Amino acid sequence: MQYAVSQVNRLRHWRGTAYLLAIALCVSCMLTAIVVGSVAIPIHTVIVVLWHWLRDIPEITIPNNLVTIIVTIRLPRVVMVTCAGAALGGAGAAYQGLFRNPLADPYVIGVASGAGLGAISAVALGGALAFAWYLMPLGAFIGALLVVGLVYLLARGNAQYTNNDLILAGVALAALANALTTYIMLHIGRQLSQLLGFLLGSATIVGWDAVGLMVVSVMLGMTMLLIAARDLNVLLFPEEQARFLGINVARIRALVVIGATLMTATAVAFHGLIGFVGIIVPHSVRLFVGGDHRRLIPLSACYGAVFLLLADMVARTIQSPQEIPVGIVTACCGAPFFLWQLRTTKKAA
Amino acid sequence: MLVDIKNITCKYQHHIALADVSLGANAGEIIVCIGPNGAGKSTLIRAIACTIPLYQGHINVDNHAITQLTTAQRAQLIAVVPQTVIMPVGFTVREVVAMARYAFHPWYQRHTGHDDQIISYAMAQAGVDHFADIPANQLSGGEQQRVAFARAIAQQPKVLLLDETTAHLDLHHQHAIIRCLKELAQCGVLVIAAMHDINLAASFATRICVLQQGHLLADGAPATVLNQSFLEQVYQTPLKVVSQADHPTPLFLLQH
Repeated sequence: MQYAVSQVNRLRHWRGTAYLLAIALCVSCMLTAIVVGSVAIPIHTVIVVLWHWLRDIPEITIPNNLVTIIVTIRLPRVVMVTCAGAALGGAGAAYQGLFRNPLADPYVIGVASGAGLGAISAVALGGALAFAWYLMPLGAFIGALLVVGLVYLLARGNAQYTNNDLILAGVALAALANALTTYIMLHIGRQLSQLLGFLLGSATIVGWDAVGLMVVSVMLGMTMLLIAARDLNVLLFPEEQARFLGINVARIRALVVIGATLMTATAVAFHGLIGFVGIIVPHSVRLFVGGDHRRLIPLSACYGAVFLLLADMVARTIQSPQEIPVGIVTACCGAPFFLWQLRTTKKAA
Repeated sequence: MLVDIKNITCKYQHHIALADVSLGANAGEIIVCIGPNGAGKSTLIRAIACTIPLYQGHINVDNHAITQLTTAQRAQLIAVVPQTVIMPVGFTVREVVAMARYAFHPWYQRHTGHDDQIISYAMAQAGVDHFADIPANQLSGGEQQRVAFARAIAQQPKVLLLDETTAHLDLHHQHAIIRCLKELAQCGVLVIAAMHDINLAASFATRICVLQQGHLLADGAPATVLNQSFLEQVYQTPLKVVSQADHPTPLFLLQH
């Protein structure tokens, strides 16, 4: 039998460079995202302003309005997009391992829609309160956790590797959650265009408070996933075999569900419903570095951030000065990719 | 006694899979369980590996009650080669065998050189070392089964359980695995295997256990347990017996 040994060796060679490339791309995309906008700011100005801002020294040679644009408008937004991309990429890789299904993604399995419903419900219930926007992440997390629990119970009976039951359960729950979300939005009546933007994935709140909360939750979720990453490899085998290998299945599943759902909910609460990042990115990463979650999850997070930063730049510039929700851009890339994957996994099964 | 099974009863919903089975086994023994389909062979394997609850009775392995051990502690003591193994996408053979070592380290620790030696040794024993860097899911069914065998050896267990492992293997690899099991037994590993092939079982077992409808009917050396009238009664099938000059047990064949 002939095996593609040379291909395997080539892929192993990729593993080292993948990390360096990921970090380099991530940083350069963040800088580019600050440069690009309705007012283009030269890259050296950006670097000088950021350098002074990081060291907390006032900068006097650069006009004040540019400093304000960079520090209070573009930088928080870029950090937020980076976090959302990393959250969706990492969560996608984790869900695919948890459900043993290469098509699982926060959007496809309905978790993102659940988070959206939770976030909108929080706004509707706490609308009169001054801190209503800060209830959104909590609502999103509860909504997402409910959906992931339901999907898990529905898909549990089928122990097959690529079960489309999971996708169907996710689609049905997503449709229900989206319908309820729309109903609540119409019921609230105010801020309709802003809330519609939320459904299509545009940043809802950009301020340093929100960014801080987002960074902390994404890092918390990521830590949980990295703790579970090694043992998640074994969960790709049936549950009983994972136990033969000494894995505490319930604990690893709980870590992955809570970590990935926390990340998804944060991304949705602050950046709206963005689809398909969690499926395109882990898939492409897996082709280069293999399926080991200890590499797959962090690299998917890095490349997820890169992908969403690029998509966000397209969304901001394609109809400049107007801005389109980034969810439209990712869906245009992701839906064809998803259909192609659906075909190939069907052939394999 | 390495494995001490005392009066265990196991149930699947209302169906009794094992009824009041007791069995004691020492290091270095090769025990093969035979019996018709649904006799409880796989259930016995699962009970020892502690993946199904015991309705009654208890099992001690290496003087520990298995229910008192953590999953990781059990995996350091007991390894199982399952009936069928489907390899996941994106892992090389070496990476799959390396999963055997996860239970020996907390999540933040990396493999040591010692682990690498064990992994390489296990792959060589199971005859999968020449495709160590091949994606495991590209292998044939029999090859994947051998990878699972290598993974079990890499756990360096005191008790090795096999659930009809040789069923999908060709003659050459059946022979290779049986030779390997004998070597492991000589090194003090207790091997307990569930199997359908009576003649293969008789060729290497030191003890044969016959199960039928959850009851342990017979337990002893192959030459004393395996006789025509008893097996015909257990399998409800007429058998032909061919004696062998070089082996104490005869061959049991189906009558035409």
